[in-house]
Amino acid sequence: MRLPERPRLLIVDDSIVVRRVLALTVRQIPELMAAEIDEAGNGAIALKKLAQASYDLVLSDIRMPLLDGFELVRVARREMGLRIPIVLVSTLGREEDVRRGLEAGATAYIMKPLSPHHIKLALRELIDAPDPAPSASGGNT
Amino acid sequence: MDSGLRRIVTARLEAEEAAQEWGPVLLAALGGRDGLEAQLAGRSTARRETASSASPQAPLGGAFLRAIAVEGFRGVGRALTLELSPGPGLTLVVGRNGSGKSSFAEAIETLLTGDSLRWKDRAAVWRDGWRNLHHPSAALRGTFLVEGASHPYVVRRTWEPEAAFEVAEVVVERDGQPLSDADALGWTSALRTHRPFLSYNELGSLLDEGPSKLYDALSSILGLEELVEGQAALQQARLTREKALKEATEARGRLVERLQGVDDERARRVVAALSGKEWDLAAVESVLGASGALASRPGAAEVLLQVASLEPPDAGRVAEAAAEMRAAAAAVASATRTAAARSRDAARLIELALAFHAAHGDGDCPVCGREGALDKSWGRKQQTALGRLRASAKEVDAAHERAEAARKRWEELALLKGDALQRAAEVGLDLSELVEALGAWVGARNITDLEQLAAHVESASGPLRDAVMRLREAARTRLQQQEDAWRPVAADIASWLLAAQPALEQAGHLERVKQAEAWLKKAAAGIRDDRFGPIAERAAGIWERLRQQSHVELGRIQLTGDGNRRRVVLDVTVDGVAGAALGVMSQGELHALALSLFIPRATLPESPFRFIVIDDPVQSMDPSRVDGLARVLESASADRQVVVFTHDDRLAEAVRRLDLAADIVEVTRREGSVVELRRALDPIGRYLEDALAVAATAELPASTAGHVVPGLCRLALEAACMDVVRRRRLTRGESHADVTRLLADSASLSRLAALALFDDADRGGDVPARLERDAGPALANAFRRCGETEEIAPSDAVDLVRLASQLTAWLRGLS
Repeated sequence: MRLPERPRLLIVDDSIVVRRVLALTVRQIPELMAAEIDEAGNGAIALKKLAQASYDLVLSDIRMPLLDGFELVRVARREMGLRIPIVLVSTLGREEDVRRGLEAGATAYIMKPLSPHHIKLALRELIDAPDPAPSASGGNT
Repeated sequence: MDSGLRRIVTARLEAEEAAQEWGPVLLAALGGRDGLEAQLAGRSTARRETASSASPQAPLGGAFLRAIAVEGFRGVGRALTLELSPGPGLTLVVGRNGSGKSSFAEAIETLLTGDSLRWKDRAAVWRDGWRNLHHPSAALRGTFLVEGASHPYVVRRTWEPEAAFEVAEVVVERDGQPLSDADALGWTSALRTHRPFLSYNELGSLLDEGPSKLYDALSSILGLEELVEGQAALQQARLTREKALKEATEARGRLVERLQGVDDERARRVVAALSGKEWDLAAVESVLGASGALASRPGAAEVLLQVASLEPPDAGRVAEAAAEMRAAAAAVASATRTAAARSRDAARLIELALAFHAAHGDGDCPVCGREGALDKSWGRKQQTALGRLRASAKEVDAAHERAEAARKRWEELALLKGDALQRAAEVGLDLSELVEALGAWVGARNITDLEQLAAHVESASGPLRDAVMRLREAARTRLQQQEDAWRPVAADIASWLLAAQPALEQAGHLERVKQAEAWLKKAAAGIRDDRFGPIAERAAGIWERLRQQSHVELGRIQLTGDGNRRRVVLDVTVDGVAGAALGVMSQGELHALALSLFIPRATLPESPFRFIVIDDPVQSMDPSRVDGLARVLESASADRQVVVFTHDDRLAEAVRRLDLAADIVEVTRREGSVVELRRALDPIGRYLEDALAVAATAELPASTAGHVVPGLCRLALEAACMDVVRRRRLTRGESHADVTRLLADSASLSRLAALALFDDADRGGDVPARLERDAGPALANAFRRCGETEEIAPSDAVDLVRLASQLTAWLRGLS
């Protein structure tokens, strides 16, 4: 995927500490070092932010109050038509959860959310992958 | 600045639409470099003057020379005063070489300029011989009548005994009061542009030194050197600025290159400020001043500062939180085993039963089946029991709440504040250790067991603290390194800024300077022609009268070219052959040519001097040319006071022979620098002398004498009256033109006498009575006889001349 010089990221998690740590982790990747990172404490706030601004990447937890990660992906894809990468990060590592997430439209599913090493690897892979479509890295429409 | 030149330039500028911006710059440049720089710096309020506005240097009207007094200077020993008639007219000062005559000419020049061109380039011994050997004190004193001033001005230059020539005290006085301003007369620049002196030396050198020197001499006469100086000043102003800007630009290149190798946010900000088309020097200054407002995104230095002050999780608080987690776990465990736990469970059960009863009404117990067990009294009893159970369950509720609060404490312990950390990677800090430690730390969120959580917090806090401390240390080291690297760079930036600020400010004037320079370059030739045209015309006219039998014909005189190609083109034709060079002209012809150029210059209307002083113009002149010279001088004296010093009698003779109006003063020298001045015949004396000659000539017919003698006497009386009126009115400050007009309008003896006696031309009828009373009946009678047209008896002629002579003397004594 092609990223702008200062990519905009949205990190969604109900723990502020986890959000900060995820942000720091993401910044370990050179392309995302200077990213502008926005945070949301649950899926509902995240959807509101996605509607208001354009982002290059979304990183979201699954278990959250009000609106969970599955629902967030589903609404973003089906109802808002967003094609930006949305990566689910969760300890819910059952095969069924992964399938559910990907079926909802998640771009990737990271099962070890608290391992910077794994997050870096997964995002690296995502960034280095060729663009599936010209608009894939674009924001919302 | 030369007012004539200024008029021409200003008039041309007024026709120039675009000159609003740079016109003042151009006019200032004509005043020289200092004036130009002052204008550009906004120190002067130079404005576009209209063509009619006077030069600030000429505050007073034209000046006539009343007297020059010389003491202990050159050939003059004890004080001697040369009195001059302060009005238009020709005065010849005649004296043999060594008579002291030239001392007066030099004295006038020295008095006003502090120097004498005739000494220029002479040997020091000549120059040092300025003091008179027979008279230790030295002083020069000139008295000037200035049109429009009610009192004469006196300029005095005095030397202490033994003082050097250059060390003199100069005082300007009006009505006996010294004026504080040494340039009260405003003559400083006029003495340069309209030099009213011409010495034999200058006559010789004017044409000797080649066409470019002559160009310079004429340029200076016309103020045209101001044109050249103006061009030079503009060019200089442009070059200095371009050079400074170029240097600043080159230095900027070197500075930016150097700054790009400096890993410091400030260096980057300076580079950014200097990378645009226009340098943002204020931004550079604020970086140096460190007082500059922080950018919306904090700079690297700020990030490093914040990271350097990060606080790791406090060991005490970690221990306390772990202890609390354990205590809360224990409290939950113990509460679970107590009656309170049972009460809590029982209360929940009763709540459900009461809800069932409320929904379905009285009836059997749905659990044990006892008939009619649920009724109103049962309900009341259970409500009471529920209250009791709830109270006893509170203990266990509190234990659970406490456990929940303890659980959350892992979060707040690691809440690393501020956005600085998020930007730490960007400024080059290695966060991998911290990120690993934090990753381990937030593993806490998946731990439900408080005992395990306490252990996790304890074990994960150590590495987290270490990671924070190491990151903090790295940030501090980086800051120190940057400061060490920055200091010399900052000094370089500051020194560049010091040169660049004025360079840039000055460069702001470049556009105007360039436009003025371009315009002046284009217009210079035209301005020169405008300025020189009238003079060239007059010079040609004078030459025509001076040339006499010369084979040299002078056509157009032109100043052409500039820089090294500047020269005077004299369109000279010799014996009908055009294009001849100056070389074919004799010394006398060259002098005549120089004189032809001098007179029109010195008598330009804008000159504040109504006098010109010419020293020895006849010296090498062909005898045939002297008559022409006399006529030229006389015609110049129509509206100027022309004072000519001459060593022989040829000019005086020509003046007499041609019957030209002139005062002639003879200078003779006796032992010990005693110089004597004797007034030769002025017009009055000449008329009387002629009258006497006619009266004494027996051969003439009686009727001729009878007519001519009173006529000549009348002319003598008229001249005496005019003398009185002119002196009085000029002294009073009236303009020369007004006085001349008045005299011309009063062209009869009666009116002139009325003017002389009563200052009123219309009181001619009162003249005889007044003369009768004050001058006596004999002189009154003589006046009447001179004014009448009837002829007199030849025997009375000599007597009439005698009486007329007495009357002129009486008239001249009037104030």
